[in-house]
Amino acid sequence: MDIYSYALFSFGLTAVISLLLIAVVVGLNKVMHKLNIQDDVEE
Amino acid sequence: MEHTAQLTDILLRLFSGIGSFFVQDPKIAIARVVLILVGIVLAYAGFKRKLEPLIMVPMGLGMMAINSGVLFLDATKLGTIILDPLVADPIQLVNIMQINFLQPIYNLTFGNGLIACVVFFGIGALSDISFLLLRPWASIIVAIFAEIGTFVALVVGVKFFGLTPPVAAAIATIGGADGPMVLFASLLMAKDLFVPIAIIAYLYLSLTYAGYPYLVRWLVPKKYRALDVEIDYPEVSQKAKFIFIMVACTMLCLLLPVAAPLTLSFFLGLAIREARIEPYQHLIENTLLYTGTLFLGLVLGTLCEAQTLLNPTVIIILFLGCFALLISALGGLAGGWLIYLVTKNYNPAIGIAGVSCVPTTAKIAQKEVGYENPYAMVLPLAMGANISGVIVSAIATGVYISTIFLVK
Repeated sequence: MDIYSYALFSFGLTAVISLLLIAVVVGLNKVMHKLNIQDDVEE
Repeated sequence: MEHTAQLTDILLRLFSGIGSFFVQDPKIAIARVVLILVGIVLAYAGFKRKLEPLIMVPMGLGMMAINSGVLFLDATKLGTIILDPLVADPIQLVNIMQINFLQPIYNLTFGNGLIACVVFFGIGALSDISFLLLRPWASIIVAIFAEIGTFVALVVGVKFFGLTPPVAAAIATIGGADGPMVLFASLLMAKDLFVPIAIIAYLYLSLTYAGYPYLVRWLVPKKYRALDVEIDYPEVSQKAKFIFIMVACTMLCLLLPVAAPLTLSFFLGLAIREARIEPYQHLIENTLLYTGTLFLGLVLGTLCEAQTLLNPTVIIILFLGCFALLISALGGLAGGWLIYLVTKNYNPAIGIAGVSCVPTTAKIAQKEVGYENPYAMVLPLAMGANISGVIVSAIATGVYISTIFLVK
């Protein structure tokens, strides 16, 4: 792979993994809201 | 005549710090003088808060000491009893560890990336994942834009300076503006240039403190800098935050095992904060982070020996590092503008915080916005972009380390 293609490939891969991670975080946030996960109340 | 020669010899050995200037290569002697002066300037700039004091004060003093405290180690050999980063032979290393006081710190914490991980514990413990949840998509997009310098600098390094792809990639990671990440990347991809890359990276990261505000003022007109942003604070339980941390850490370690030490350190810091393990939290925030930063600055300073920095590649690292940081900042601000244009509820100045120099760039964003509108509060969003920046930098470094072999 030449350096230009590699730079584009690695930038694209970085962006995809980053977006995927945020998608999981956002998805998880929605699921936890739906399940109404709350902190345990300390006595 | 013989007496004069003897007297000169005695004086040379008695005041070897000064005497060594007259017996060594003039180029090195001049470089030593320049580095002593640079050390004074950096330490003073740290004292005056023009540059980051936590790094610059120990680094400046270390630089002055290593270039002043030169002595005759034997009849002909000059050196110091502070640190020698070039020792590779195990027996020689064990011997020298008993003499040079910073040698154990260098070999057992610096040369293997441990100190980078310790600083990452601290960064994790100081970060709050809920900032990331304020505007997660905006934060990650800004951070992706602010990583562009890392990739442009790689191309420039290979095409214009003829560097090998791993060396160019190690230098280019300076564009991610994440000190520990640069240390780690250069250890794995350019071990021979690890010392100059680490020094220049930290030097530049401190310079962002001084240079980025001008870039923000130049690229974001007053009217836009003064924009206040409506922030909808989501209610996220600690349990939920802890689950995010576990999932994100596992996912990143699965995807990028080469970056696992840094990923683990950062997320462990976050986890300790969210789990409210107070003794650990105090230990990391008050002791480990500052011990790590102090020794990081001091070792970096003492690595600034004239001989090390006279390597011709240093000029290329100086240029490429500065270029990478500049492009990343321009990218971050472009990302800020893009989010503003799409949503109209974003201050473009926050873009600078996508450059992951935690928390410096977030503070710069808030400060510049605060000058124009004292009532505008963008710090939570800027911290979100900052934390996203750390994550994107870790991903970019992992991608480089595991795929750079693809370049022919």
